[in-house]
Amino acid sequence: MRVARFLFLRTLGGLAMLPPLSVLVFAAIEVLPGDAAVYALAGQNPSAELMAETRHRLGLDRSPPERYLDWFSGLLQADMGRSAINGQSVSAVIEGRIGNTVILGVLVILLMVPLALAVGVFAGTREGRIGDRVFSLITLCLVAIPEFVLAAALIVIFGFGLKLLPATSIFPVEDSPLMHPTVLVLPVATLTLVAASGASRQVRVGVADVMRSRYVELARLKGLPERRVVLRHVIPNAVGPSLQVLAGSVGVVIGGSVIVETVFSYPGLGSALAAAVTTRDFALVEGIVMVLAAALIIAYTAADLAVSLLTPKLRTAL
Amino acid sequence: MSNVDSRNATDPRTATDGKAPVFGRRDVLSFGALSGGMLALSPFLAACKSDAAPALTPQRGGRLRFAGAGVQSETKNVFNTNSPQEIARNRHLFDWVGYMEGGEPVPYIVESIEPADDVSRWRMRIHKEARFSDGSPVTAADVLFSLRSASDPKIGGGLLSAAAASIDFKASRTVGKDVVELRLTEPLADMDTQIYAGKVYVIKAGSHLSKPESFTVDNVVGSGPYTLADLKVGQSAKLAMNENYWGRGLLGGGPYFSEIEVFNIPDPTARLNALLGGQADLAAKLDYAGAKVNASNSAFSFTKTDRVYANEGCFIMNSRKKPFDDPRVRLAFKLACQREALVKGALLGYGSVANDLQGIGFPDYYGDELPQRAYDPAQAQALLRQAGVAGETVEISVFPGVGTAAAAQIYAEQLGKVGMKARVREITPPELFKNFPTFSNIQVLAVAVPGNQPFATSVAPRSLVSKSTFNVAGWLDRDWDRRLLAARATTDQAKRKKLMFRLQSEFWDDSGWIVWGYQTIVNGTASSVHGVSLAGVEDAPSVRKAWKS
Repeated sequence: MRVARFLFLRTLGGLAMLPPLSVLVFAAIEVLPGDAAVYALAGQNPSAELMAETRHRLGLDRSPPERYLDWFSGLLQADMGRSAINGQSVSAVIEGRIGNTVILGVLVILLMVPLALAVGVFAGTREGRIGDRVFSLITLCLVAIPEFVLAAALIVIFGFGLKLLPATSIFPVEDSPLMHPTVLVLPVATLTLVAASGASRQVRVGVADVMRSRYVELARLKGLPERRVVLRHVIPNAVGPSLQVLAGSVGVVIGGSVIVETVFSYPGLGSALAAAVTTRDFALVEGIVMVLAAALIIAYTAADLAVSLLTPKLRTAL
Repeated sequence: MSNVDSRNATDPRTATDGKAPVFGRRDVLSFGALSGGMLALSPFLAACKSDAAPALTPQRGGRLRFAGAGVQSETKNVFNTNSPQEIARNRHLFDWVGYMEGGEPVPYIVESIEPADDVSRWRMRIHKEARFSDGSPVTAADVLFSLRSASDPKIGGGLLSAAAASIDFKASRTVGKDVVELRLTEPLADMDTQIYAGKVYVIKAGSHLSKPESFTVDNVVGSGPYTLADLKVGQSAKLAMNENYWGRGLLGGGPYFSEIEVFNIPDPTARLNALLGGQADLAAKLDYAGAKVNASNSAFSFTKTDRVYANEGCFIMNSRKKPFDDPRVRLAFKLACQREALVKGALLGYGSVANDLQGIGFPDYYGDELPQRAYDPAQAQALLRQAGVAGETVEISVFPGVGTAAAAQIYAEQLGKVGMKARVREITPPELFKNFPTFSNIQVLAVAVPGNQPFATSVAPRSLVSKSTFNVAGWLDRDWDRRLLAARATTDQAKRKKLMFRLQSEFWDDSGWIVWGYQTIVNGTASSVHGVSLAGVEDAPSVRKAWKS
């Protein structure tokens, strides 16, 4: 019951964050110069009258608060509105792409979590030794390299050089990316390497801290083998706090997907979001950001729950 | 028809850069770290170009993967498109009334467009063989319906919108099943050019097409060599061969592919990657650096369009704004522009020098009869001193486009040599139209005007006459507008030429337009693909006649 109550309250808290978030996103789009009417009429030779009529049709001649309230009330009725550029339903755009982004994100997280933990624990238990230094250097480099540079390097090596993998993630229109798993490898690898590098460095710090703790020292003094010390005393105590860090990596994955999807032409929400921002397609930006924000809230809630269940002190408090 | 397969190329309007890449400082800077890495690691550079190609017979079947230059905000609209990728999709689903190729009209659905003696009425005769994909004949009513719909700003707009004001659609009519009679609001002797350059698709008229939003590719019937099999907006479109295509004779036996998949790939690097990595057989509108680095790779052809098909690199001075209200300053800025350096630096050599006028290769273009604008920094400096603006700072707003940012930077340096300071900033389309229609936020606009078009029928109505939407230069001369219409109504070719030449001379002398260069468009094809054609839209090449070996 306590777990259910905890979950309920955390979810409620997460949902309460959505309205202020939507205001922030709306305000951010508002401060950008210009409006979607220009894009909606791109390729035409619009008269001033047509421009004004288009702005009216898109509701751009109304005040920002009016437009925001209109959009938000629609959202409460599960109506995210329509794209100002091509008139497509925002829900349809999201529906057509969310599956691809979920596939990408889930694969990245499934690979990133064990990789970050393994590398973090390996380096943390060897603090200051050669293994730690090598991994720290590698992860530092990967954290420092922008996603698009890493993606380009992987394309050159595996796409053009070794010719093992496709350089872009394009696949037949009626198929799912899972039917063409090779198109997923490079985007997943790019995001995994970037996200796991940052997370593994955090895990390493946590593990190194625990390794220096008194109870670990005591365990060693009691003559426990090092392997057992690490498995029984270090990892359980270091992993709990690391879960929040790993949940934070979901944000890195979501942010990175905007760049990686664009570089690989992967048809997901990230690439659609990038385009919608460029064209001031407010309804589409809001819709996608809301979905991504909800995903992030779910990830943090799950991490909170996992931390609470794995940490004895917190578990008893539930 | 031009063929972009360089090994079989016979068309002088296209050519393949077969020279080994030579890199200058600016090349390297332009390509950047990303492509530099590719350069360093790509084994393709070791490849050599094959010299001769055996005579090949077109083969039927197979699937073509087309990496189109798209935008995520792809539309399904037949008549109004946002990107070359949409044009590439639509041009295979539908047939144009006709189009211009290399400045020459090519009738397609129509057999002819002929004027009445007073050029206030034009008759279009429909090709008797033309059939929609559902087997029904293409009639005059369908063509008139298509023209009307394409001209309606709520549905289409686009290139025909300039003509729309001149066509009285209420009075226009069909004569029998095969003839459309267009009645004009004013006599125009070049309506055929306007219709051909407008590239209007023909769709089947129907009562289900009553609302503007119903004119979508999945809701209309076309007569093109392919039909729409599947579409995911913003991702890709699958086209299937129209087995009963009426125009096989016009296509020399085509279409050949069983299926075409047009992918929407906004990023030029990703399009090139798709081609090099084997995920695409054809990639449109590649960036110059990528094409240059891979030019010697025999597995692919990288074709450059001639200036007739090129985009036009322009700096547009807004004469509503100081100091460009002074004609001496406008002339000084023209004389300060070293065009060869811009072509070499901003376009990496993929282009040629222009002469401050658009519409080269089309009827009514007389820029070649005017002297080529000279580079004369000394006179520019003297003019600027006379105008009392030497040392002042101007702002160059850069509209997104291939080579425009680099061109603006180089031009700013050139202006520095004549004593002016220039600040360069990049703007978005909404920023450009922020103060529409006066563009009072723009002093100088650096822009690559897409798609060369005829001067009198397209360029002038779009951006030169007083009421035009894109009149950034503030060329507001109502007498010039009136004389342009009079020239367009003139049927006597010698007289018309005299009038047009005078109009263009005045514009060349006094307007705020610096058309400094023709920007080549580069498309890439796998060596197995043959018969790709530019045919009307250079950055959305046609594969109507193409096949795979």
